[in-house]
Amino acid sequence: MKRTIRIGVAILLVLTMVLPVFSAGKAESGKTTIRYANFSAGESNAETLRKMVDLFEAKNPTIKVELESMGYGDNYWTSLITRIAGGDPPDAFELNMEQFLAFTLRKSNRALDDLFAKTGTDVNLFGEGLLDAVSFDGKIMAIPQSFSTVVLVYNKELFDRANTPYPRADWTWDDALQAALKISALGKDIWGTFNPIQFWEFYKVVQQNGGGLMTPDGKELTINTPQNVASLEYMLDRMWKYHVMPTVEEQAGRPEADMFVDGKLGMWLNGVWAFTDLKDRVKFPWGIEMEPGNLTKATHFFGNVGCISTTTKYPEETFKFLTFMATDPDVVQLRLDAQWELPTVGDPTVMQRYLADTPPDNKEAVLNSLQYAVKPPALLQFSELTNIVNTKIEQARDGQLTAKQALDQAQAEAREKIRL
Amino acid sequence: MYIGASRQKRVALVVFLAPAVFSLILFYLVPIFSSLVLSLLEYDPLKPTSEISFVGLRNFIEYFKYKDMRNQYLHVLYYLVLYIPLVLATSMTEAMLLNRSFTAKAAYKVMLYLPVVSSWVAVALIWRWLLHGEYGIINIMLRAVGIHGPSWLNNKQWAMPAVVLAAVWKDTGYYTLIVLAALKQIDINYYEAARIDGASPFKQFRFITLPLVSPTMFLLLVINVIAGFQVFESIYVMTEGGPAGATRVPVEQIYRNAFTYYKMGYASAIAWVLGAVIIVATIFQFQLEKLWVRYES
Amino acid sequence: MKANRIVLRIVLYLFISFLALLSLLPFFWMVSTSLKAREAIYAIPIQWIPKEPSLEAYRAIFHLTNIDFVRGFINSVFVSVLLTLLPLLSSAMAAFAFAKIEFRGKRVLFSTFLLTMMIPGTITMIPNFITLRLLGLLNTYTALVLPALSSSMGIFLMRQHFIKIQDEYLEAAIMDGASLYRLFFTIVLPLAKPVLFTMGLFNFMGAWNNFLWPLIILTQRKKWTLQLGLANLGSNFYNYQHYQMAGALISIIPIIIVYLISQRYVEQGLSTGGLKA
Repeated sequence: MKRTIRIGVAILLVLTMVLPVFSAGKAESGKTTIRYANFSAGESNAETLRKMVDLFEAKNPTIKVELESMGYGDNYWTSLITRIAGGDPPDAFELNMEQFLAFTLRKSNRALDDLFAKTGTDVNLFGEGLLDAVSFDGKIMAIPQSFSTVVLVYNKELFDRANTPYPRADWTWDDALQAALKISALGKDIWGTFNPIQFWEFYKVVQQNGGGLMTPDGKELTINTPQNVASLEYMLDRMWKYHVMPTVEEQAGRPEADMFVDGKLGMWLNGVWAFTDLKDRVKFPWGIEMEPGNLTKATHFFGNVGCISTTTKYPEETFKFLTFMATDPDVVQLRLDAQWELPTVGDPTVMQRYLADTPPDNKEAVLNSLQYAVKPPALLQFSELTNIVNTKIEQARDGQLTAKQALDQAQAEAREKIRL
Repeated sequence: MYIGASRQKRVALVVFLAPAVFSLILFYLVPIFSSLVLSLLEYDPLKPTSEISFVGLRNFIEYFKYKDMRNQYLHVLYYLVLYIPLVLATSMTEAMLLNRSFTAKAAYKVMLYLPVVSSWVAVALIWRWLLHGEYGIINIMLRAVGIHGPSWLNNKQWAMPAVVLAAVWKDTGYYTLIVLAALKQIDINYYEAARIDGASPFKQFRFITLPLVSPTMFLLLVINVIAGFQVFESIYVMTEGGPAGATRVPVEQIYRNAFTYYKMGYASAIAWVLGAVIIVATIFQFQLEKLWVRYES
Repeated sequence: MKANRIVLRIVLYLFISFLALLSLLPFFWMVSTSLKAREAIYAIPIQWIPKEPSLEAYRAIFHLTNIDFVRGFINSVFVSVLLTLLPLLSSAMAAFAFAKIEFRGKRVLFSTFLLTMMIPGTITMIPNFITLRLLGLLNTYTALVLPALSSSMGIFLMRQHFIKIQDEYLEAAIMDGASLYRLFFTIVLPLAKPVLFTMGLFNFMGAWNNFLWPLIILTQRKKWTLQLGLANLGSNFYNYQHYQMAGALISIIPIIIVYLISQRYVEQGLSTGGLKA
């Protein structure tokens, strides 16, 4: 009896070890399967992504696309790099602009010029400058899929109550501060503004003040210049000096989105990706405007691109897929309908459609922001730089260090660890 | 039992030992040396092999120059100093209570052990919710008695104690059973004799229980220090090293450098420094053993 | 005198009940939260028992596109069974050799196994990753199993048990023509049931709850175990605590069931481990 059990278990074990080999997805005869790892859809746009892929498969019956969607976060980049290193990369994978260089320098994605030529795809399909952004060493290394900017979102009702004029395109830090002070005066848990104090904000805000993280030639780090210190101090003053923004304690774990929807924030800096959610949840009149600058304007530009792995067996099919997802008119319409970031096609009528879709009004602000777009610093050790600077900024945010101390320490550490 | 020179038997011997020994060599012995070698290299596993370079002690020097390194060790010491006394005290208390017989004892044992069997991921998520600044029940209950609790995991002073609290809650049951086993082995006559002599329960505890349990406590202490220095999972899921690095510990640094930045040489150096610290701490404890651990003669 | 005893008893019960309550309270709150709709979890005054119980969280987490809970569950079951039985087998085999077979270098080898228990895991983590990558075993379950085959604790505990088996008994069987394999499977293993259960539970618990090593090794979402999915849930749905609690509950129930079934053997196995100095 015991022996039979033992043998049975052994057989079961062997079976279970062998089964996954079969479950790994048999390719149906005649069809090619390509795998696409991505993160930007998240949960809110997962359905849209699925519809887009369905469209592609309908128009290309011999190609099947296997989606490997993960949420945005450390894990996506880590597992992607590990898979590429382990020799089992997906055929196509999504990157954002910050990580683009880190992957390209590691030779994980292949050049696409030959595929453009072979398939006769017109480079002018894409918006101006976008293909340049994804080029390296004179070769196109990815297909731009979507982009987004960050704008000032504001609660019109709170502005009315505070009797202060709505934000305008030419606003400066001072204008924003004045409005914030008036709104904060409305109540104990009402705050004029919320501008996150972290790395991504920082590298942009310093440019609004004439500073920057690196010298223009990218050869040296300039994290702790006096202008940058002043910029960080301004960011901190909002919390500690003027009290127009809640500290981490005062926020008590509530997400900014919820605070805005609950009518507790007058102004909020956020990306256009948030519009999908806000459209559904916000019950009061709201608007958007370009972010205020100081010496100059500087706004965020975030782009997501699709890369083809260097070792894929199906470069042409993958290229077809990525180009389709970026430029096919039906796909573009799906993206517009879902307000899922912005399409990368150069066709001006597409932008018209985007602008016409409200709320919020004044979508022009989104496009106008592009003029002042600053890209994230592109370097191999992007993750590390982010972590070093962000830790110090957060320590300043929590009152452990002064702005100057934080940036001095960040500069010192980055100098040692980052090789430019 | 002696297995003669019979070839069959010797082959059998090899078969019996093979899987475990193979794993031992490849995944424990070899890595000790290869990680030492790695710590002297600059190694990014995703770059072509031609880009691996020998850098001698540079990784170690870089690590010692790293300003936050000292803080990370301080954080882990903070964790140990809070966690170990608490968990030893709670497990001792529970063990003493369980050492008596009473109805439904088995049920109680199970209830106290439930936190132990849960995964740290689940426990971290549960406690993160319990400790929520605004809506966590801990703060809500505190508010009911008029205390305004901090946003625990967002507060640089309270984040680590909060993690320790969760860890004590989770681990106590495990240590309780071990201490209980030790308590059970104390000869009950000792207590009888002491009672007859008129010794109070406190005296009995201090002069009988504690000394006779000290070998077990010592072992637990050693294990906990070794494990405590390597604490990571609980913190990673609860605070991710925050707020602003207030709960950063050495293993997080190893993990981050190895698997996010892919600087495996540097990460190996950090691992070795940590390993050395642990070995020194363990030796130190063994030296102190003579001072307070009593063995039954 | 008697009154004293009764008071003492009551205090004992109160105290132990208090401790048990502390142990269970977080679990209770977890279940309670998982059965609420999103607004309800933030309701003040707090509802220990949800006024309007809702399965919203459970429905949601099984329909996420980026986290496949069902798959994660199945993967975890599969991996845990593998990581329970295979290391058990390999440890038992090695323990048998150490307990009952004489060979050169036995002492040294056994001590080596024991010493590895002291090696901080962080030192072996990185080289093992590189080794497995070179072997092309990244993102496989084999990579999870191989390092676990040399479970020193298992070898130690099982050797303690096997030593107690009488030599004469085994020698008689050999006289009768039994091979060592036969001996092992038909005599030795059945006699070691308690310790097998103990180590089995221990292995299962470790495997089911394992987070860090699978995080490093498993890079494809479809290979993810439940814990990885749960952690992902915690970070991608940071403010959907009811989802998190539902996920946590689903991940805890199986292990509690396994524990309850085998908990009789746990204490037995631990005490025979011999922590007497």
